[in-house]
Amino acid sequence: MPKLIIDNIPVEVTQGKTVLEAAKSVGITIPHFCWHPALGKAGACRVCAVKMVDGPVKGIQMSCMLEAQDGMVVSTTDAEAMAMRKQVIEWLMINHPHDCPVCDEGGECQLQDYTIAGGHGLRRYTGKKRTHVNQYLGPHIEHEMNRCIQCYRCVRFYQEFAGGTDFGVMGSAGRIYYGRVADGPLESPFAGNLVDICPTGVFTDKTARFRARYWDYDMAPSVCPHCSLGCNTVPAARYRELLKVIARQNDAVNGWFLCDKGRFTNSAVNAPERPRVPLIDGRQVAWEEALAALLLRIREIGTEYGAESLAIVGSSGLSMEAASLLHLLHEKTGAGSLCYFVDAGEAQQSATVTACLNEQASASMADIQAADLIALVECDLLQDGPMMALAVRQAWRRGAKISLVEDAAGTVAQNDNGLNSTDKLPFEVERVASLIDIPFADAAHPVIIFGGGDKMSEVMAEAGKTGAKLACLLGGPNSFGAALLAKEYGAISLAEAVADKKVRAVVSVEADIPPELLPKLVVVATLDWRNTETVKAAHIVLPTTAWVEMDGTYINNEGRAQRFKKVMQPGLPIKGLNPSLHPPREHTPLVPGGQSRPAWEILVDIVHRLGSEEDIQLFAGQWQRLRDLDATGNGLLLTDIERGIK
Amino acid sequence: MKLVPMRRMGTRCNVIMEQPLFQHNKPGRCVTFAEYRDEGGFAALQKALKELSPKQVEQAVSDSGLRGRGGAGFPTGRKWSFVPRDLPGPRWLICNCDEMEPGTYKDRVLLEANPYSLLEGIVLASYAIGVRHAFIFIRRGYETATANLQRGITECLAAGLLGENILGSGFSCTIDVHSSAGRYICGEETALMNALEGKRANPRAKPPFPAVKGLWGGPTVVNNAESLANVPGIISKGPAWFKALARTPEAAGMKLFCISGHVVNRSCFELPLGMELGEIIEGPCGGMRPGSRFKACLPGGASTPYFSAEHWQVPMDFDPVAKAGSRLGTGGIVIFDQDTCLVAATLNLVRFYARESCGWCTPCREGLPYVVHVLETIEAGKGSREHIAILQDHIKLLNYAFCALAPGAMGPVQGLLNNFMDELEEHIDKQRCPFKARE
Amino acid sequence: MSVINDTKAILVGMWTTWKHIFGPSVTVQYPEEKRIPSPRYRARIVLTRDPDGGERCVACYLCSAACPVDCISMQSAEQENGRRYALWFRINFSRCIFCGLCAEACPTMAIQMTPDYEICNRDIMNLLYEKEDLLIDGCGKAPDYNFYHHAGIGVTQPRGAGDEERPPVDVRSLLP
Repeated sequence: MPKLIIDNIPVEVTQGKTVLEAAKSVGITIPHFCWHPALGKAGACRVCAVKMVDGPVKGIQMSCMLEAQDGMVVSTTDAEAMAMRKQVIEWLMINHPHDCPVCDEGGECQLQDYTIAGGHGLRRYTGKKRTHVNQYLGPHIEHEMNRCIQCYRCVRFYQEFAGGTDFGVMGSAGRIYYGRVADGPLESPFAGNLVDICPTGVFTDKTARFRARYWDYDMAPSVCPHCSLGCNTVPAARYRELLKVIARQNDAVNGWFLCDKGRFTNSAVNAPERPRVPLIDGRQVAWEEALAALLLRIREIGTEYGAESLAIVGSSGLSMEAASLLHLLHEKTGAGSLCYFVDAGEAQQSATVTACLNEQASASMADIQAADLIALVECDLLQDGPMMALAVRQAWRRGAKISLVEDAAGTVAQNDNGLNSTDKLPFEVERVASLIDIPFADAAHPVIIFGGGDKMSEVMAEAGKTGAKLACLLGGPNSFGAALLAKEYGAISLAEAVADKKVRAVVSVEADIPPELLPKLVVVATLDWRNTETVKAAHIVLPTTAWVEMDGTYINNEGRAQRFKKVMQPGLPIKGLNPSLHPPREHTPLVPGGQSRPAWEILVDIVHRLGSEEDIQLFAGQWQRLRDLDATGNGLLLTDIERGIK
Repeated sequence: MKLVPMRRMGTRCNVIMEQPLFQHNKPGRCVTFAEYRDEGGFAALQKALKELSPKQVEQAVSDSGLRGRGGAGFPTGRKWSFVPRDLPGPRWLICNCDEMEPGTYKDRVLLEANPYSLLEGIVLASYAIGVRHAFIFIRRGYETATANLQRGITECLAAGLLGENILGSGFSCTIDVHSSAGRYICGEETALMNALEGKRANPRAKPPFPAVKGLWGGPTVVNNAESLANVPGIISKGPAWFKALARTPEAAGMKLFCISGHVVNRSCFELPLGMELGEIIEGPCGGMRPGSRFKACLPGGASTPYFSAEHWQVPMDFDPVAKAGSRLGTGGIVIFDQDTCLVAATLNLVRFYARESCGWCTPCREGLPYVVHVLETIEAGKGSREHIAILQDHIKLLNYAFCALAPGAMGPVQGLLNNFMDELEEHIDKQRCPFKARE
Repeated sequence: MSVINDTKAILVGMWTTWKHIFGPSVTVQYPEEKRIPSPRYRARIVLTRDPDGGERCVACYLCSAACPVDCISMQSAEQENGRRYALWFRINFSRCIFCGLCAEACPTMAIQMTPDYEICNRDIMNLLYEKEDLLIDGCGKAPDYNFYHHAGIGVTQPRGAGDEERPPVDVRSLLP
């Protein structure tokens, strides 16, 4: 643990940390562009200059390149160091275009921040600026090469970290250009991280182009709902519209990055056809009327088909708060079935996984990055958990062996497009016929990644035998939580309930009833925020809030509970509103289209109306620890007791 | 000591001195394999493989005082000693024949006359370090030299002087010639390794040093062609002989000085280290050409600060030149007369470096064009005193670039400001270049 | 004595006030007489145009960020030629304190203050000025400046054709 002194502050860091990181640990931010915590050092920008006043190294050094050593005495305020930093900024500004006002990065631009920090002000260079022609890089990312300061972060991320091959650096000296060989969409499923990683406005989010400035965004820590990995995000909203999603650091889960699916497929939140007002048979009504009608219809169903014909259906996309209250609705309505999953296979897989995945055996994505042997069994990483593919790649870069177990048919499954997606995996795999062919015993940190299927028991056996950690890709952001509840309340999937228990009517809570079941069922009511087929078929529609419009909790695939916070008010985006509605000329507390309520809140309301007098507390009993979950931490790994494993 | 006519293609000058490198030169053509061998070539290789251990070969080179001839002047034997002998895996030797430093053409002259000294030197160095596969990284423009080397390698393989079990000693070594596909920066040793590996020719950070972790991660030694070509002489005639060739007791050996500029004889001469600058110019160079008086010279290629008439008596050896405020570098002496505008000359040189920047780090990529622009402004008669301050800032801060290209590029600018400040101030005060005819 | 001193004090006070009855009055009989403020007087805000007739405002949000009372709001959008402009732009003059920080912050010289102080209104909702109420046809106080001539993004002239620019780099060429 080297001990050094930075600006008269004594610092102690772990071996291998750089002087830059040591300074950061005591709150001193040394300006830097090319260094990045996930990409490591480059030494290209030369702006992190500090003066080593005493110790094993002396003179002006780049703090991001220098490993912290015992006895170093560092000064960031030395005159020569400050002159160097100021000069580097002047050099970068020589060619930088005069376009801050029309650049989306303004307000969140590292070049702006470090220019102020460096003290560079008036331009004394009288020569001309070099310019570039931009490329079309796809619908998500805007390219503006004039702004480039050649920090090489983009190409280091894209090629080295993410394994992409179609984007790179070309040219030399002042002609350096970052782009593709020809115009066209970027192929890597992680290309969106270029937006976060570029310190200037070369790569900006095209979907949020010119919408708002960083200082105006409504932001809050959140969790991505698109797959079971639970990557941490910061959604940015303004004027009741979700504008874009930024990655949030979580060293145990997603590290510093996000996949493009989580970043760019969130337009459903702003969709005009989203259910926003309670409906009875397509007619817009107030909440009171809708809830009263719901109770009436439930009683009518009971009379007509018998109470057992009703099923309360949740899903793996439902927040833990709402999911944990479903059983109350089930109790109070006397419904015959309580379902947390629609698909029998998904229910089965989630049940098996949660039954066996104890705290010790579950592999976080950090564990996967640190593994030295990884087995992929029946999983489509790029489809069901792209960030896990990125984590596997980091392990592979460090020398880990990756083995792919062929499925029963002898070929690797193809995805919906008929493409063999393993060809696009950003790492090399060795194909093996079966799990037992893999030499787990030789590895110090083996991990098995499993996508769910017939090989479950074989995988569990091998994991138990070899002590390998296990990571399973589940169906939705809260599959784990739903499965735990399903076990607690003895729930079955809707498909089974329809088949065995003759369910005829459902109350669906953010569930997607598949097309083969929908015609057979009466959808009495649905609580949802998306305009799905189920919503269209429902008699009563109760609009819920999307994940960005409320606080909630998801339990991810490894049993990690994470809290997401409310980012924005539900309601029709101000963009496109009738000018007579904005600014409001009559002042009412009603937000246009703003009647959505969190699903759990609606359930509490219904349960009270069904006659329950008790005060319903969220996360009582064994879910106590979830109550005060800190959204900015690394989440909470559920203990074995909480997982129901003895 | 044999009287050896000192020749070079096209010029002739008889001087009494030994010529370790040029002794085999033949007028107007490359020496043949048979001639080289008959004149004593490959004797050093025989001796080393039969009588000396690798450590003894390295010791001999260290004792001789041979310093790198490629510009940095690092003691060659010491560089070889940094290679850890106990690490598993292959070790590599690269002969740096990239020679793109403006004013330098000595390696071309050497290889067009005699590739065999270099090849013998490479095998000896490989023996000393434990290298089985050596590379010659040569700039693409040196087609004749490349052809000579390829032919030489074929001949040596046929004669059992290269390849498996050389001369029955059990030591095996091959040499591959690689024609560079890149620019000036490939002459920087770590950028050279990147280029050889097929990557972009950006330099690497040091540490780790190439001797420990270089080509494909293995211990690597990069030596200049002239340095390696001197090794056979050291082994066959001994380190003391080599050291004594120099003019001063601190210097060791002889150096190929490639002359250009306003002198009578613009050739490559092999001269003892420690010979005074004035002696070189008046002697082998034949003095300044008619009508020219000495004003300034670059002592060692374009990246060295100018010498003025004050430095006439500086011994041309690494340490004395450094003490006098410049660098011996590659020994490419470029001499300027009284009609040369040194601001324009400096501008020309810095323009080269700005063009050759690899683009990795900010000071070189952006700072050098800034200096070019300032010098252009001054040369065009629009300069101001502030420009001098900007140049001084750049001289100081370009030292903190990623590799040595940027500090080298500022060598002439430093020379201009240190020794010819009055000329610079004249440009500014008169608001025109005094050397250009008035329009 | 104190009575004489006190009397003197009162009389001096009265005389000080009295002498003003016959002096010149400084009251300006508004609205028959109007005071003309200097050109730099900070009153009604306008959005100016550049010398080529285009709207200067690029809706960069700097004025709304600088405004200490949050009276400016806008939404930026992009025209087909790449020009960024304000889709709508609103100043709430009932909040505005006429401090001029918005004009100071504006990087394109778009938002400027004029000496027109006569903007009172009986209905407060009429003090919400939209872009069409703020936009004027002239250049205001900066007759020569067109931001897009210097921005380098190819709106008013092709990329690389600006006065301070070199032509765009040819990526496929090996020549310097």
